[in-house]
Amino acid sequence: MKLISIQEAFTRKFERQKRVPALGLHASGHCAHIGPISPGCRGCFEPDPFRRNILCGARCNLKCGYCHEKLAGEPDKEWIIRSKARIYKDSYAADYAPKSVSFSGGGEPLLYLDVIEEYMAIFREVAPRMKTKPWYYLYTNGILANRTVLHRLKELGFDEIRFHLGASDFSSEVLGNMKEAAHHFKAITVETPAWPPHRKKLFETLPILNDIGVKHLNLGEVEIKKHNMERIAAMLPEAEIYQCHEMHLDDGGLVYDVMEEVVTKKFSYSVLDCNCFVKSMQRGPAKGIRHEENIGLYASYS
Amino acid sequence: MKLAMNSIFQPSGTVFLHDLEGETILVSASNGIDHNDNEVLKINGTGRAVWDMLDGKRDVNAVLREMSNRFDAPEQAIRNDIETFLQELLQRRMIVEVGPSYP
Repeated sequence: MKLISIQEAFTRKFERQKRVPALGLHASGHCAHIGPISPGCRGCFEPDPFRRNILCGARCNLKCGYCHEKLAGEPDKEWIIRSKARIYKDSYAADYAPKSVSFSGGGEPLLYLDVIEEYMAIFREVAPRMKTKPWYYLYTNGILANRTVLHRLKELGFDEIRFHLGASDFSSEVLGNMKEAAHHFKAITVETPAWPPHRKKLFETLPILNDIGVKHLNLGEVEIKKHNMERIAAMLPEAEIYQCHEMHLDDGGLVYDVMEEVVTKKFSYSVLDCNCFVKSMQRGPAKGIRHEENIGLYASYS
Repeated sequence: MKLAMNSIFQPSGTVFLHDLEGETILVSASNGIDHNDNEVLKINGTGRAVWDMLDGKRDVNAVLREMSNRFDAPEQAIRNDIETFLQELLQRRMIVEVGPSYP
């Protein structure tokens, strides 16, 4: 793989963005998208506890070639106590107004439905102290998101389910689960890597996502970490990587190609470039700063 | 700082007790969004027994007598444990002194 400078990577990206007239910008331009982004994504630019992400666990039922996650093990009891206590602690603050709560993890969250239920019970308990009702959403590769599980998630109060479609290689089984999910939740999102080997299948799937009623397509640049670097170098020896907050794989303009296709074909969902800028805001010190354009965006969802 | 044995304590108005994962946790409400590990304290069964006696009426002497009756341990050891625990609660502002008891 070749390491390119941040100037080169950003120049390419900005030049590519100029060719998408419908492009919208959020969070001071860090977040580029077409169409309205999910309330959960807006929450990415909010500091804790206005946004809370719950790590469910490390186990996964799939094995993605690009996966960068490798948790040392399951969260231990002390970690879980701190995580849950923090929700209670936040809830006693006078200005407790969580905008979004997400469930993710190094593994597949739906392998941890019991953990999800425990946390949602705590959020229900502290709900009377909330100044706002948060947007609850969950990440999954979709394999286990059958009708029974989806009904349970709806009962628990989830608003949005995000499907990592690339994990199952865009399987028809997961697309079927997404179609079912679209009947039960305020939003169904596909959040999948902007992984160049997925280009063909991604483009083939775009009209299917429109038919299903997907509201958002989030394409995330693949993060390069010590656990996946050698694997990706073997798969994509000509790949180019760059670093701003963390190391990312340059997608060769894939996200903006998808945006143009979605605009051209008049598909109804939004498309978001979840790139290194976004991560630097979501995970870096900048997250501690509330951006002016974020305030007041959570009142409703259209 | 050594505690006066006639001091009377009670929970501060901004501390709350929760049972999590089979453990007793004291959680302090914060005024803002900053996270401070001092605001969460896991306490054991002995700590819980002491906590339940911090009712704004019993002084430290009364707590010591009650704990000595309940637990089979040297009084000095129990006294040291109580003092250490109360100091930690004070340092974390989880309790407030409401005054000395008078004979």
